[in-house]
Amino acid sequence: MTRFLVRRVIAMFISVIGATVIIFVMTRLGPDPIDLYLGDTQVEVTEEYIELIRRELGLDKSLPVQYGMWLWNIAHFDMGESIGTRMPVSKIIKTHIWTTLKLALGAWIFAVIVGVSMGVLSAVKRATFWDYVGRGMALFGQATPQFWTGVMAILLFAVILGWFPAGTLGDQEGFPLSWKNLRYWIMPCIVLGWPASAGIMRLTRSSMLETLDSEYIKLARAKGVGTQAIIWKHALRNAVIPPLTSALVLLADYLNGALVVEIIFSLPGIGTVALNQAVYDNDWPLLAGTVFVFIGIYVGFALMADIAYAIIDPRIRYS
Amino acid sequence: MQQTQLERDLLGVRQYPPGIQQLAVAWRFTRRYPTIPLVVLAILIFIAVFAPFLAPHSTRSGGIRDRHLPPAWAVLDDGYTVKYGDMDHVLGTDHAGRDVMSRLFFGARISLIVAGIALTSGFLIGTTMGITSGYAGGWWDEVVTRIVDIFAALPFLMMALVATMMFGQSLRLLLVLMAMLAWVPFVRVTRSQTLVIKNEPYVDLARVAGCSYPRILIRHILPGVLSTAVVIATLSVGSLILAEAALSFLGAGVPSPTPTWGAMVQEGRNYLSTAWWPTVFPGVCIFLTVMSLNFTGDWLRDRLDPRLRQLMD
Repeated sequence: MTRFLVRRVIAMFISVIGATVIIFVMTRLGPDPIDLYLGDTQVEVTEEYIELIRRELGLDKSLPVQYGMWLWNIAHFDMGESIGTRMPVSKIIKTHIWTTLKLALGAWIFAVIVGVSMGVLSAVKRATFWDYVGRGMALFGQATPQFWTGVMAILLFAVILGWFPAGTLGDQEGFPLSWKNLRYWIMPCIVLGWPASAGIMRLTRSSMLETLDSEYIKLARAKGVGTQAIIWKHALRNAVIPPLTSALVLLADYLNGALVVEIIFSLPGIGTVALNQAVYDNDWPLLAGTVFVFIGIYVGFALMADIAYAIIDPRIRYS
Repeated sequence: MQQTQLERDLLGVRQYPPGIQQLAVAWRFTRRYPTIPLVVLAILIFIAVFAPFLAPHSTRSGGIRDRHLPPAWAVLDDGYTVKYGDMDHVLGTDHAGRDVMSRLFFGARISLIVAGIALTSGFLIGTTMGITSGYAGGWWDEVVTRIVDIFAALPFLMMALVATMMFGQSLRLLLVLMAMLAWVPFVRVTRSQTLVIKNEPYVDLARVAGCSYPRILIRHILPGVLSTAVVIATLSVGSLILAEAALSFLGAGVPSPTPTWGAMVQEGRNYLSTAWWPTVFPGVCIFLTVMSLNFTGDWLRDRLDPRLRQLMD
């Protein structure tokens, strides 16, 4: 187990470093950050001044050295300063990450609850109306792009029916789970969570069917255990392992995938910030910072899923 | 297959009156084989190939006078004018007066070309890396696994957007990005499959008989992996098409005058309250395509490699 853990953690660090190197190199292939720094100033800027800024930002050094410096600063919890706004990157990320986290968490809760319960329902009531409803929802969720379901949800529920507001988060004052605040989150969370709930539903369904077919369930039935007890106590506990472990990685995927949903619902999350401020303006410290956070979250959750899997299911090989 | 009455009764095959009997057979056929999805895909491919002949209008011609003409069966009343749809623009026109149906036809082309090329390159690169790393083991295996891990950790959309900003929007860049996305699942699955196959006695025998490395890989390992790779291929086309649409939606796809489904949704969503058709129809197209592909993929998986069920479900 220790060996396995150490190997996993080392692999995690290699992933993070490799991924950041790729992003770092890519951002520096673009236009000179000096242009962004100076902006569209009409004032004549002397060569000396440009050299000065260049030295100040560390741009006079070679690319590997710059990367090394960046990594050194990250290790000291300093992600540098955004070139465009001159604000510390960590501060920008801190102000926006909560929106993304809430969105991801809401979507995740939706996906897990709907996915697992629909999966159980359609496995238990196999080949009936409920099974077809569940599978239909899953098919639809896996085959529609989120940018389209989002737009359609806005059209239907915000424009035509007017049930939920869209395009704003409201005041968000008072108790966070009150209906007044919550209704702004319902549509984005469902749109983001739906495709994943389809995946979880299918996983739960097939693993539940397999479990219901096993010997110990037959034994329980033969003993005279009631149907409800068989489903919830005997079968579900075993059947829910694969969907729940995959759901861990899913939460990480959400933080990356939230980008599209944030844009459609105009949520001020980290994805929108990364896109509008960092990508379009080539603000590389901000970009490197946000991508680092994304990668860190993803890799961290993947590691947690691996460990959870190893703990829950000792049959897997530690390799 | 001819069955006796007793066999029919034992198998529980019900007899229907003549007309209904054919329908029942047809129903069972569509349940057993992915008939409807395959028909949808065939139509799609036909449209994509013959788009220049089938499209009623040019994808760029239009004009403000033809702006937001409704579909043939619908009426648009925006408070100023009332517009009736006609058969000239069966699915209506978009905000620039361009025919939606023609643009959908050409969009099918882009989707299929991009998904096809990405899939082929992903298949070739991924399978090659998967079987070589699985068979060779050692440092090469370690390197391949690490690279796959790094790619899995990269936030794809962000990276694609950065790349587009850096290198400019182009079809070539889109293809490279899609190929980067496509090869990962192939490596993972073929590698684990190869790890199983390489311990089979026939592989050892081949080595004893003096087969060269490439020969063992191509003649003895590859056939065992191929069916799995084909299943992965069909199951991942759908997600590739979704990814291409998402990139087009975010403005990182094929450059603008070329119509793509994702870009059509992006352009149309600004006018959603007046005209729904430029947004709804591309989405329906994406949905139908991806669903047909997923259906076919599921069926192929159950046929060729039921063990994958747990993995890909």
